[in-house]
Amino acid sequence: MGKRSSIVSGNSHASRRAFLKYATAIAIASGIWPSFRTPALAQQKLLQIMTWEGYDFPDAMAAWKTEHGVDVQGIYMGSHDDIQAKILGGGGEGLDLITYGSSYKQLYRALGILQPIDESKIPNLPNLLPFFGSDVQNIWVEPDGTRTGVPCDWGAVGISYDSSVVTEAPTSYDILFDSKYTGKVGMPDDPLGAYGQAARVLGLNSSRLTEADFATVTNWLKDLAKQTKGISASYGDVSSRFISGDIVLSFLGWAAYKSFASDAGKDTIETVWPEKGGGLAFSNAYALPPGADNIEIAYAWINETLRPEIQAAMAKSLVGGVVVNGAAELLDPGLARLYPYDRLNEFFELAPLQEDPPLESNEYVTRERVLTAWQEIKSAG
Amino acid sequence: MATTEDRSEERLPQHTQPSSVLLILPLTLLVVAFFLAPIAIFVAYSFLTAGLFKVLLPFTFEAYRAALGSNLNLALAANSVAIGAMTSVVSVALGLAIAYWLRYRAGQWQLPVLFLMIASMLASYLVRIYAWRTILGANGVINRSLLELGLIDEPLRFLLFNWFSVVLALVHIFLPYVVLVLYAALRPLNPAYLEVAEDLGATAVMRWRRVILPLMAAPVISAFLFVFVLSASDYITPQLIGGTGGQMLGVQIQASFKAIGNWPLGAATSLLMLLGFVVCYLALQAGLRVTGLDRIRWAS
Repeated sequence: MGKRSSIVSGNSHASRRAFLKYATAIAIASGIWPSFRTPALAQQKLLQIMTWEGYDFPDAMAAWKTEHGVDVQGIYMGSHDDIQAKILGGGGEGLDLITYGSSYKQLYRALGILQPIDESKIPNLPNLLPFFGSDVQNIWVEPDGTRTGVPCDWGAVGISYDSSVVTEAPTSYDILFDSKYTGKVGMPDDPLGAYGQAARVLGLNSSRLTEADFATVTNWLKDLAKQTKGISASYGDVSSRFISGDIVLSFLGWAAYKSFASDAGKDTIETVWPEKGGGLAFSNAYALPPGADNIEIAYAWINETLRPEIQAAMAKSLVGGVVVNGAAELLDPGLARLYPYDRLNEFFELAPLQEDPPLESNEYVTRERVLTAWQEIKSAG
Repeated sequence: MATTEDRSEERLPQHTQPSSVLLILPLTLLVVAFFLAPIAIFVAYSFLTAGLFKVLLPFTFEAYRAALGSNLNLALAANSVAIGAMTSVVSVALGLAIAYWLRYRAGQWQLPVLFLMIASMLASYLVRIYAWRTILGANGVINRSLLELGLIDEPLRFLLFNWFSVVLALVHIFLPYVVLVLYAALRPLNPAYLEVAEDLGATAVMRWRRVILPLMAAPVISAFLFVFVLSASDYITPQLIGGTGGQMLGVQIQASFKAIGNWPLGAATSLLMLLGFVVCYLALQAGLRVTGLDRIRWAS
């Protein structure tokens, strides 16, 4: 019995009990070790951010994290809906910061996800560009003046195209229906964006669609879906299809595709916002979720991201737009040309921030109706 | 010396001893906590009234009415069943052939091939789906090869973003599991059975029909159900390579929970899908009973 339970190591014999004793000691020591680490590590502050991958800015914010002894834990979402699923479905405890897209403001306000932000804790806030500082659509500031979000980046979608195939820049959304491009058109799984932009093309407003308007927009999108080989799961997926040559045009085409494709060796992806139909802008903003417990660090993080140098670095890593004064001048020439910073107000007329259908209404089609109809459009091949 | 009956009498009471109950308690708690309780919550949710990302009283059948009354749901359910069935049939047919080859014909290749089968299961699910996009895409391996050989002038676009590509990717994902299950089932099948059948004049087809398939009926049904349930309820593969024609019910359930925020509808649709799977299981079990294939036992 003794021999069977022993562990042979070289010439020495250790009993199982002895082995377990040492193993237990090592395990306990490993568990206790963190409490005896250096004071600097022991005082490390943790900031948990739920956001898109890359929005925790590991490079741009590296120096700030070291200087302030902050350990940032990014919890990445696969789709924007992960935020409400996590916070409302449980599991959102410990989150200190989230980012929300401008089109989710209405929903998150109704769900009570966005907590008031103390503007005095963010000294760099006045540095926002005029458009992002004056919140006409109440995306970041409530009508009563309570701030619930701080914009951190922005972008715009229009028509993206592969200039090696589509040799002339599209001047209208009609090109998406050209039989030459049947099966070669992309469209991301973004129902609210799709309804928003389709409504704009048809001269309607997606936040005020009557039943008749709704049917018109839905039919337009169904026809467009037939031009695709299926709705892409994400904007990144559209980019992959451009790179692989599966598509040559895309509805809700994101200006950043040019950079993503270029990194993959394809320099021919461009994006335009035609005079007729224009495009849609979006902006991500930082917000405090319910139960955030490291609020001071969260404020410090937001404040730091509003510095021009950090904004320029963030825009570079995200291939996005900057939201503060003095940052556009620091951008690489290619990135600076992505959006027209010298005439932003004019650009936001052509591609305004998305407005979504109401959550409840007797007069207009609601968000739920739009999302339900989108499932039919996705299968409308 | 105790007789067999005496020993049985000694053993039986042990099952009721407290130690037996304690031993089985952790497993029971796990099953209750992670299987029965979530299903019970789903059942409760499916009968509650929908709020925006919440459930409210009173209890109602509205979610079931909406789930069953939706033409889209019915179309997607039909698609799920068709894609699940095709994936299962192809996986089981290929799996059975491969398992047979491994058991009786592979010789020294048996272990390396089994190892490769297991190794392929370690690759990420998403990586494997994207690999098929690289193979079947407009600039993929197949299209580029055909273009360079001058066999086609334009890339074949029907290879990707339809139900065919979904079935192909799902077969690739589930085939190793099927092979392992069927290979394990074939292991105890004595080669002497096949030799005796051959000596008695059975052709290769007859040996398959009269010896192997009856003996393998139950494992084949298990493998079929395993693949069918997982592939018919998949919601990631259809989104990545399904196109408009390859969408399935799982995508709709995901949308109900995550995007639309109608939890009762998502729960009701999920439970109806689960009910469908239970019906499939019972139908296949009944089929085995009717044909008498459930009574076939291995003989050593």
